[in-house]
Amino acid sequence: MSATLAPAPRSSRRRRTPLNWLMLALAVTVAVLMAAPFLLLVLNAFKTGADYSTNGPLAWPTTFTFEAFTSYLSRVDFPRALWNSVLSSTVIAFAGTALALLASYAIGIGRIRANTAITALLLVATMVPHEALIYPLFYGAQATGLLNSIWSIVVVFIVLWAAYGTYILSSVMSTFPREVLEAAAIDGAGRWRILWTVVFPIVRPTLTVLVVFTFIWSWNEFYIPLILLGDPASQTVPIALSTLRGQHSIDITVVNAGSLLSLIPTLVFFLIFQRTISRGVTAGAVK
Amino acid sequence: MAARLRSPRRSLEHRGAYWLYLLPLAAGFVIVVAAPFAMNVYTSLFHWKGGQAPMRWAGLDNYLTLFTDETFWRSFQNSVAMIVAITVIPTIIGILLAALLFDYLGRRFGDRAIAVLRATYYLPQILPIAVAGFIWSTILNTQQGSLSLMLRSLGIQDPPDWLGDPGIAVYSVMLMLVWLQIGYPVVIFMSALQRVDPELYEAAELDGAGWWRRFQAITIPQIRPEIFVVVLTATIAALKVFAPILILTGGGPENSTVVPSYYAYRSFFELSRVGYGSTIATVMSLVIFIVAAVMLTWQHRETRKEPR
Amino acid sequence: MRVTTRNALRGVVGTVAATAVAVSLAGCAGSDAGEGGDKTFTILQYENPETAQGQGWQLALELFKKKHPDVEVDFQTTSFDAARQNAKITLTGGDVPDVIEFNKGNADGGQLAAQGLLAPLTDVAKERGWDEKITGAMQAFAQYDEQGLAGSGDWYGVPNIGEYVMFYYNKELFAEAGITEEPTDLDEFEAAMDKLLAAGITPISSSAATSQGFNQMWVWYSLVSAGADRTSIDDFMFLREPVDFSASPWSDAAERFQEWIDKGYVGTELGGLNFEQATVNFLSGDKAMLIWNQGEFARIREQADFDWGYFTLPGANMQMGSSGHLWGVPANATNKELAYDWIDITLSEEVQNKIGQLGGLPLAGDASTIEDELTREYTERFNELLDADTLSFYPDYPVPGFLDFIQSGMQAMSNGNMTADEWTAELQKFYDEGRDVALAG
Repeated sequence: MSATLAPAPRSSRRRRTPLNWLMLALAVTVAVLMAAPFLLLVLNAFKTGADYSTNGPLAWPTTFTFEAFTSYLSRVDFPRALWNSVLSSTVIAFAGTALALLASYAIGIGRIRANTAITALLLVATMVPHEALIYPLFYGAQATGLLNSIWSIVVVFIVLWAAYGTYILSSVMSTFPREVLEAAAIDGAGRWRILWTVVFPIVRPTLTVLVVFTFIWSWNEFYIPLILLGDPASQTVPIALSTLRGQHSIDITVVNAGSLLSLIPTLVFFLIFQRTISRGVTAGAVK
Repeated sequence: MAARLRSPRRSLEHRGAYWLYLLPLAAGFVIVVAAPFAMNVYTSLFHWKGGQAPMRWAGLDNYLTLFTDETFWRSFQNSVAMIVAITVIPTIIGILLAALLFDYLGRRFGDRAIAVLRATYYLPQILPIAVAGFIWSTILNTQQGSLSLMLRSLGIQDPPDWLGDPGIAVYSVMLMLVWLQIGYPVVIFMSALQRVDPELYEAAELDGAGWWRRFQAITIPQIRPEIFVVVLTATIAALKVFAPILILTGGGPENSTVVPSYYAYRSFFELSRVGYGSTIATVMSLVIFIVAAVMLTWQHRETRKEPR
Repeated sequence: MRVTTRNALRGVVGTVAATAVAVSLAGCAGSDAGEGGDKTFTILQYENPETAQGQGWQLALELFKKKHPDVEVDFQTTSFDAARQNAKITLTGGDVPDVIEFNKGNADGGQLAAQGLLAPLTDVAKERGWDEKITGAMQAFAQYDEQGLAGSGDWYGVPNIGEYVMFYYNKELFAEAGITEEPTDLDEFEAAMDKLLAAGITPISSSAATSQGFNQMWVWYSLVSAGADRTSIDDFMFLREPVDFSASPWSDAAERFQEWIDKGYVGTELGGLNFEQATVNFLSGDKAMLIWNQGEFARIREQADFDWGYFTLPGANMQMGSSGHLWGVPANATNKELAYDWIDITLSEEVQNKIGQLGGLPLAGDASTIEDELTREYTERFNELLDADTLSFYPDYPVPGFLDFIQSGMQAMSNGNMTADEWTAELQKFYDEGRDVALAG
């Protein structure tokens, strides 16, 4: 790219016009609006109950205290819930993505017959509202002895998220350059090898994004785990948090503290992986 | 390596064998989705209190009741509002923000700043919905909430009753949903923008195109696949939205924020009308299928038109 | 990016390994939960362990373990919402807890009983003398008939505590408004509220959100109870005789309720508030009174930085109140005898008095043993109401879905979108429909 023509002002980093700063300010304002509600959470997690009741949710704490946190930890088996959530979300994220990879390979590259219909059908899985599934899933879980075990929600969500992932991946796969595939086939590679040696590396950025999204989404799932995981020993973090809501009394500062604690794992996970997300959902569809 | 001249045609297009790859997911689909959904449709033909209560045949009774059910139609109206709040607004804002961050600010302020901003925009998405609802019910508290406080400090004396006024509650919920949702399109579009060839922009600039024109003519068409994915998945999510309503308003005030999902939930668990709840869920699913099918067919046609 | 088989294989191996590890670990974790069989005694409840009842149960746990040292006890905590939602489904299974806490009322407890998910306890109750500890109106929601209606039939549940509703008030704000003594009848009460309004203070801190905004509902039903008698309440609660809501006490209460709203006694913009926010509004000194039950007694005691008192609705015939939640034994439970022991222990003098010390309103405790004077008086007031048999329960018990329906009506009235007459008509319709469905079985 020989650029000898007109100057390209856009590539100059040094010139930051007032307009630039204004736009930055705009972007930062949006960011502040996004983050502000979290500050409320933080603010009220460090107050005593009396302080909250007397001064309301917006006041600065009169004394900083950890009592809400200790109360939360004594009421909820947080380490157990944390383990359940980490385990289930990790398995769901990886297994679901792997399943999606296999299925989208068949659809996008294998070009099996009726692939649009199949994709639509799979998408149905993401469309069905969970209330429609809940009674049957409960009886099914009971019948297979999985009820109250973390595996019930793992199986359910692997399928649900794999369906979503298949949809995303198969559109990526369908734009996969056929020449590369044919070259590999000429070299004598079978379908399985082609999948792992040729396709997998190229779609890996997309896969990573799927894993991260799926992990976060399945971590925050509430409704189906509520029904399938009645036993508190198999509770996940969001469910454990909900046990704080009493019928005629609530400890608001404890709820705040618990919410904050529930937030930290996903936050950490996201921060670690956010760079990989940047590489793109459809980066695989590069020319 | 001895070149075994296996015809590439055969190994790539021997479609029969590809079915094997689809098998695990297909099996899972039947077990987790198809069978339960079929049971759900079956249940909708009965009057049933749930648990071990007797199931009494209703035939299409439930469906007839549903079509004359005012609350149900209102819930569909609210669904449209949900679509606006989850699909339309965040997608538009998302594209603009993504372009702003990526194209405009990225060049001048560096990648670190962009990464921080993007992470912040995505923060609401990692919140468990129960927590998000809880935080926003504090913010939207008319007397003591931050929103009202902010408005009062700007001189507006009488802020509306955000969650208590039936005419306004829907909009308050929409506000929270927009906040919740913006991160998703931003992240996806920002990564999509990386795909766009900078040469296209430079060529356009040389032709004298301003930022807006470039945006329209190049950016948007280039990331069209992602826009479509976001719009489709967000619309489906909007039609299914449940937890925010449950936590923020419980369908109120005065049933003004009921959405189909919530109505089904209420039928299942509050009213103990499991048959009726199944009916709602079935009809909801059909609507979602149709909407999605329309969108998918449209996308299919559009991509066929695209020059490869 | 040179992709090698090695990298790809690493990915596969990694996934497989992770899954394998996960499976084995989960297998270990899974085998602990739910496998108890005969040796593990499972208790499922949803009380906050820091409340009086929660603490009483901790003591009961100790006592139980002493009595049965060879039994492993699994004391599980869930939430009220989860228990309510899931009970009908989860109790149909084979692996159920041995004793559970469940919600009273025709819609929840009644359905569990009617569907055969709970074991009848009538014989055990007689044997162990529970029917002498739990008497009068407190038995009402422990018993359910074949249609799942409370008030009569076999025992299916055993309560530990009672509940009643009162107006907590800020003495300092009252003084400011020139109110020198507690009102003794409804007219004086309204006069007091007029004085508060004149002093620029909102008299009652209320709420009406669908989700947990029960204050308005309790104001309305308190007014109903004020003019009601035992028969009319029982007919309403237990679906005995048809109820005419356009007659007294219902219509009077609806009108008065509307008046109170119009005059500003309960404040404005209630549709979005829940009870927690209403409590904060009271504790922050914003509003003069709070209508609530013993659930916030401990909190107000601990956190109010002003002088406060309480009274039940002055001059009322009946007051809102009921038994607490119930212990039940699932029909499919494997350790029924242990369950009966557990319930027995929770009703024992020791545990009941412990609950009493903390202001938990025990049903089988001795109020005179309560050390703290305020708590003792508070408990004695409850016992008074119980003895006089003037407790009118809670309004959402009669038919399923009543809670959401009533809340909607409360919102509409509070927002000025529904008149008392319209409310009466809607109420009649919903109740009658629900009644028909419930009686049809």
